[in-house]
Amino acid sequence: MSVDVKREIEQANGEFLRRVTSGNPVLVDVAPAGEVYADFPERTILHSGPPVVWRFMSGAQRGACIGAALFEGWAADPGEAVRLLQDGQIALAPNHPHSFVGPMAGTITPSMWVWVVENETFRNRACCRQVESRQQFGEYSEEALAGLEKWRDVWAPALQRAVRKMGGLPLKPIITKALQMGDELHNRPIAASSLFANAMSVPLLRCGLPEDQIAATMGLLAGHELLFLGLSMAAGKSIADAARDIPFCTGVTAMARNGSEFGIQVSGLEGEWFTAPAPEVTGLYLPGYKRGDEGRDIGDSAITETVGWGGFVLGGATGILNFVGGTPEEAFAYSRQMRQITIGQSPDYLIPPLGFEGTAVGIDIRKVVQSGTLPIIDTAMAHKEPGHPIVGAGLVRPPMECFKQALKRFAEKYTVNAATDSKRP
Amino acid sequence: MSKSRQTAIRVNRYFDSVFLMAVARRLSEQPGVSAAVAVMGTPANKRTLAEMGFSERELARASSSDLIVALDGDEEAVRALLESLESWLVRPKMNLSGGTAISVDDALSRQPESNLAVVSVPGEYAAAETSHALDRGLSVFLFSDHVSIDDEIALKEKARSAGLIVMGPDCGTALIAGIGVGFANVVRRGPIGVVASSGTGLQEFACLVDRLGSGVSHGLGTGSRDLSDEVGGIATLTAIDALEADPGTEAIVVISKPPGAATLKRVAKRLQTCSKPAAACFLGLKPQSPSQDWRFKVCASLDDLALAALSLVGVGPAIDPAGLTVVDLVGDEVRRMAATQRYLRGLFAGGTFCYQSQQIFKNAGVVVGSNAPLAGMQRIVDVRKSTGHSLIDMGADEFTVGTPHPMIDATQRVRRIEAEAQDPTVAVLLLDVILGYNASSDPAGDLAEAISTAKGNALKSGRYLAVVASICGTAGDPQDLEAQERILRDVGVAVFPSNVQATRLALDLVLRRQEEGR
Amino acid sequence: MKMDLLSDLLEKGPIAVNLGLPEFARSLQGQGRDVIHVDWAPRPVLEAELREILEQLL
Repeated sequence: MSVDVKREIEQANGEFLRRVTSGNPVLVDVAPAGEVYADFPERTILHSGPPVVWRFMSGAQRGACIGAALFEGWAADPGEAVRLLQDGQIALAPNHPHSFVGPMAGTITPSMWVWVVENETFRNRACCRQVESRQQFGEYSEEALAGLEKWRDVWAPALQRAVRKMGGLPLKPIITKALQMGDELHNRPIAASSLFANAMSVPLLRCGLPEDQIAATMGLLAGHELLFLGLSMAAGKSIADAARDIPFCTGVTAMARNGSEFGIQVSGLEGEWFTAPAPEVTGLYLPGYKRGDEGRDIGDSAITETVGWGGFVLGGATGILNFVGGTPEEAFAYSRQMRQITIGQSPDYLIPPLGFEGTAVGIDIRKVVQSGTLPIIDTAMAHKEPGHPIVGAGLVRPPMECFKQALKRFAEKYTVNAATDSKRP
Repeated sequence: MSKSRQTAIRVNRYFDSVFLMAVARRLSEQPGVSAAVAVMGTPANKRTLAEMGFSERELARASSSDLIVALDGDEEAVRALLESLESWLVRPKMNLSGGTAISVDDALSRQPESNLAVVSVPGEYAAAETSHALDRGLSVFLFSDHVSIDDEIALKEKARSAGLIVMGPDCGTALIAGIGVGFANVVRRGPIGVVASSGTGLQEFACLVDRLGSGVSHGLGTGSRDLSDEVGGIATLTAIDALEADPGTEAIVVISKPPGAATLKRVAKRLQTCSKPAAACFLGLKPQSPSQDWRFKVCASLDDLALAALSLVGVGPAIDPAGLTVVDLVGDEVRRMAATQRYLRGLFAGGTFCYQSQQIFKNAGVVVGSNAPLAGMQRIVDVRKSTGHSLIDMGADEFTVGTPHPMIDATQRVRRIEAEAQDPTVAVLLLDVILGYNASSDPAGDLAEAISTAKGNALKSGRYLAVVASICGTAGDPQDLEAQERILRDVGVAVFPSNVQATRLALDLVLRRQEEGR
Repeated sequence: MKMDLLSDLLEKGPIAVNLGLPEFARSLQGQGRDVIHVDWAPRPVLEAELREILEQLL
């Protein structure tokens, strides 16, 4: 009897939807990456996007790698860092296969502290590094590195104490509320950041650290509008990882960019990357920067869209309408459009202006190719050259080529199986 | 300044044809532009552009889901416009209370009580969208044409077995519970149910019924090919079933061009067994064709059908159907004509009017040429140039590829009026003016200036050009029927409430000129 | 013959979903009817290989 591929896919995608919508992310720790991940490879920088070698690395990611090498003390100056990276004495590997994600260049090294989020439903963990506006964009000046050091020495240890003391912080309630407060959890996580600051305030005060350190940490939480992006990314990653490796599933488990290439991963094609040149971002520029300064699309933050937030919930994020043309209708249209290419809708994460409809969840590579509609991704822009902070923010869509490649590979993998099965007696 | 022909292609950007024609028109009005085309990259459109002299190599890059904008004109102007192309492609906001959706399923999730899909997408996509709408339990008003006959049959059978109807393809008009769909007039509701394979036929009949003081329960379109023997009248039979079951319908009329022989029998048999009284008008059917034992009345014209329908529901006409005394007008008009003036030129927006007018001339033994000839009439070789008596359907494909239908945009008809008026052999222009939803907002005004100029030029050359027009419309139409009549009368047009009456005057004028010529 | 759906259309009048020319939606709304316009676009033209794959998988 032949395998009914379509039916197998429907079942597999149903399972994908069940796993994604039942994900329950809880912040369980803040700790150095090298401690959380005991097998962190030696003298390696984990980075955003699909695998890439130094020679083809984008300007922003090179700059961030230089910064990471200096931060770890592997190099004494930028010149030495470049030589070590060039010679392969500092290795490079993508975040995603190690259950890490990082914003923009996304560099993570062992002594960099990360948010640790556990998906309590499936008991898997995922980590995201700190979100800031300099080193992750490719700047490696002393000031840029000072931000990383402060996170390592002051803020993150305080957050660790508080989180551990409170026994973990469920993120789903914060995310649910934030979506109803105009966040899309990617370019605009401001409500979630505030809710998080509220939730952390008492545990921080009671964690027993010196008042100066507590005040500094609470200052960070009070003033950092994008702080929660690190948490929504870790939460998204913990949700998406639970839906990996479902045979016959056409759902996307990762969309990630390294500034040179855009890559996607698909549940039924576990371990494989489907890549194409990273697209250009259409966006708005910060003072001092202009069109043409920006590098191509970069960062693991599209994990938020992968689980149905970010660009997928623009219809609810009226605060950032200027990215999408200015009218609510245009923002609604994006959110509705995403339902064309997804497996289902979330019962929990809702968009109030769209009649509290559930967010579109589970990008289906078949529907993307058939409809010609690509996922919409909110993103920031980094400079095309190393050494700069954030340049601007905007919108981007992945290259269709990634989805076409994945679909061809999927057909090769699963329809060959079907043919073999049919020959059985 | 050097001339240049350039094209711009926008991959996977779809715009509907009405919008693109408006874009092309606005672009063509820019200084330095001699021609502008904005079309989707279908093979037919690419051929047209190649014939206009645009680079085939360039055009080859575009597929049918890509937008092509082609400009001919001064190099600088063309380049500047193509650079700022995006600003020309901004669509007007929909401003619909229901809003816009991204798919039928999306629309249904927000409006689950939907019962009708109105489909006017390009023909090659129309069958799939119609089929999908039927799957979702929607009847379909299918305006698109160029749907294959096999698809039409499959869709109509699928609809019929699901208790739905596909009105179309190539269906322009429906009146459902008093609501006009597509090109439709504001018609009083009443006891008469209509099944029509011709959109303008349905419009004219409904307007006449309204003017005569009765009204229409529902007017269901079926598409121009429904009564061919290939399709076999599937939608017509479905519509008759529905109207027979409808409590608001007391009598049923069927309007069409001549049906296929087998289908005519089938429909006749159905009307015979119908529990409600019926009448039909099969335009162009030989008068002797109706079988003697048919119990329903068969009428030769839409006007006769309107009167017959009124008598079926027991209503006397509210006005004298004879209308104006045609004879008085004939003398006035003919007196001032020059010896060279002999011929009639009919320029129609409604295909059915072109057809019905031919029938009237045919019955009177006058042979006319047409681009859509009735059996026994001559086919015109060059549709752009009239000779002798000609009745031209300006809504036919040869006039409407890439340009708007004359019911929406009078540009082509205005040019043709100007051309005909210069011909010293022309005695009479016969026109139709169609009001209602989706037609031009001022169809009489669109033609008035050209008519006035044509008449003035004729006078200067020692001739008199008679212009006769019918207005298909009701007092409730958005264009204001009385004002439209006045606009035409003010430029010297003899205005009639039906195509039959206008044609009769035109015929009388032609016959009088023939007599005088002897 | 079943005709519930068609009877419903005649009884209630059109409650429409419009695909294609937006003018048709506007005129229905102008008559006080509920109508949702679908922002329709044709499916992209795909290479034969992908068309066949989609046929098999979707």
